[in-house]
Amino acid sequence: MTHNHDDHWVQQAFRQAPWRMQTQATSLVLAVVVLVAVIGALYLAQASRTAAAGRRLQQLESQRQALEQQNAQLRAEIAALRSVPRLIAEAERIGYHEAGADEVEYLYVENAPPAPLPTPAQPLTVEQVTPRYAETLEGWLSEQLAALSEQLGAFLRSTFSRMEEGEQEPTPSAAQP
Amino acid sequence: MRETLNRRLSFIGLILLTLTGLIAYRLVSLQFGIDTAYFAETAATEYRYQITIRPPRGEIFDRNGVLLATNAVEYEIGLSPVLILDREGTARQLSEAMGIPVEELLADMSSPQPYVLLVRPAPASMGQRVLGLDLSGVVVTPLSRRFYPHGSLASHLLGFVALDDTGYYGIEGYYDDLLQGAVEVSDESRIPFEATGGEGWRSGSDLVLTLDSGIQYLAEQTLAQALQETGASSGTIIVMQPRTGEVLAMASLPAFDPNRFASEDGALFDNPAINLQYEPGSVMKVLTMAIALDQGLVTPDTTYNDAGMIEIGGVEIYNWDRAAHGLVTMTDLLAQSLNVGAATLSLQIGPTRFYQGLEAFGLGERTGIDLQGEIGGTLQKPGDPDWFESDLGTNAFGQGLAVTPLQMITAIAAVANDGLLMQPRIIAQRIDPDKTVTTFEPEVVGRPISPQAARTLTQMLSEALAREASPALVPGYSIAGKTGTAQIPIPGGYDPDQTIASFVGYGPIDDPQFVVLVKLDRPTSSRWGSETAAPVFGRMVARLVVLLEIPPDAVRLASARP
Repeated sequence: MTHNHDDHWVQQAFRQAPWRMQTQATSLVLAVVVLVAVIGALYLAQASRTAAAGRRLQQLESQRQALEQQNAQLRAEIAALRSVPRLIAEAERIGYHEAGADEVEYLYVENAPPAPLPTPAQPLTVEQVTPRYAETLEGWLSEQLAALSEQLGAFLRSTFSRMEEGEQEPTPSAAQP
Repeated sequence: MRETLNRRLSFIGLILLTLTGLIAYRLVSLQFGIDTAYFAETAATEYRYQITIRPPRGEIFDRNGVLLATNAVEYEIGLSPVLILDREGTARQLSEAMGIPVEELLADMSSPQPYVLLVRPAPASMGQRVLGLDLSGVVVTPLSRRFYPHGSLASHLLGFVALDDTGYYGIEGYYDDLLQGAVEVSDESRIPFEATGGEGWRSGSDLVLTLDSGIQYLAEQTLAQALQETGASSGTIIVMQPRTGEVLAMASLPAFDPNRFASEDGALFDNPAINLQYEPGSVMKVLTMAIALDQGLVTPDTTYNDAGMIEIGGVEIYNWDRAAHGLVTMTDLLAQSLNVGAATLSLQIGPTRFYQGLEAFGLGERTGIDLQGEIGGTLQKPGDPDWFESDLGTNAFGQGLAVTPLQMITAIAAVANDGLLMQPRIIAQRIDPDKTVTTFEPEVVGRPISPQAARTLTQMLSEALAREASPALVPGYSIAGKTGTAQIPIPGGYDPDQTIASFVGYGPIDDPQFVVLVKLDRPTSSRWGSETAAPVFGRMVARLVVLLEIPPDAVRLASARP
């Protein structure tokens, strides 16, 4: 009996107060709720950014198509303006005429280099204009991590170098450019 | 009181828990139940769709980088009546942009159909005007189409692209797969999360031709003038570089506009330079003489007695003038274009060596040029069921066998090229989408005759032209060549009135830089090649030497001296 009575006193002495237990439980629940809310908010933020980027991508895709079509049309119009029948008609209109064999004078240039071979004009490709959009969430995260580790590395390097500089006096020659 | 409240709260909690459980159960059953595949498929059809990506077709350039075939844009303009909010305003704006009466547009907008087509194809300017209006319910769909900026220029050689995006005839037909690029069927999603931006398309390869658009224009212009002057129904001019086999021009008239192929006569699509054969007539005497010279049977001064007629295999062969010319040299034979002399030569050569010689010049087989639909001509040889002994005589002056103009010019180019037969070529370079450039080099196909025989024949042909004061001659330039007047075979014999007049020549003879073939079908001003095709050749070459920047012989040879 005496022993039991002593145990009760010990338990009574070390047991948490009820209000404290309630506070702990509430805090735990709140912590979980906050954690879930933070994760949810992060997920939502990321999802909305991904959706916005996807939408932007779709818009850019259709814009690219429209620009390619306009570009093709302009190339076609330029080619039509430069067509041989049109150029000849235009040249005749402004007073030129085709040179006859008796109107051409040939000059002999000693050791003249041969004329370079003509090369056709090359149209620009999409790859030359803009890089392909290929960012993913995984890629973005790894980029962020890489940037973070680079910043951390730079910070540590600068800290260590300052510490080393503090130990060694700079020499006059080192200060010279 | 507190106990009652607790009971009620527990009851509500139980209901909410049950509902939550039901929802969770439904979610799980939809996600993993037996109908999962059905729902997934149904959902996919809502937001996924397939598109066929047709990459831009490769472009075609001439040897100087001038665009000969490219891609332009047209539009289809239509209406979705249920999506139009302001009919009056939309009709008014559309009417201004498209030139369609407002009343007509309002009637279209009242249609119960989900889509009403207004214009297809609409020109690019109209499509872009309507696009700029950004009207609700107006659907503007771009349509890519092949565009040939020079119109009918080189149309036989280029071919065309039909509405199914497939190339037909010419380069477009022969290199259709290469020009088309990789056509892909791609799964697309309307959900922005799944937007990938595409993997990009692999466009078709570009082709650079050996053709010179300036020379092509000259050939077509000269040919058009020739048809008008001689009354010929059709004709062909080919210009080739004999050293490389490069085709600089390949013109045939009447031609067609590949931009409007659908409204053109389909009979015009065949390229007469490679798809149609003809009996070459006296131009063949060049090859007969070449074989005889190469075999060492004759020299330019070798003579024979021309009796005006020779009988071979029971068939009597006469000269064009039905006259006997007595003792004539081989050069005279060419100058006067004597059939009896040519038949005498082929008899002397013998059938085996004669036909081996013709085959060595590429007759009877396709040249292998990269153009769609080439034929190989007709050459019957001993042993063939349709060959007769008399063919040995008639073939010698271009009767009883048929060639394409390209075969003929390729064979004559071999004489110009010191006896080397070159592969005729129309493609100079291929430029792949990754900018890899493949350059096609000249290719020697064979050596039908020795360099010595070729040079001797060139001198003979040049002298023959000079003796006859041929209108094919160009002042200041040494030219070798031969006329041809071929009868046209009809059932039971030859057409008594109509002929095919031709001339093939090259120059300058010491360093040939061009071979030109002129062929006129059924000229009415004269039936003789010397009076119709030869002057056309002369006019053509007089302008060609300027374009090719070939100085007159006197200037060129003087500057070549050390």
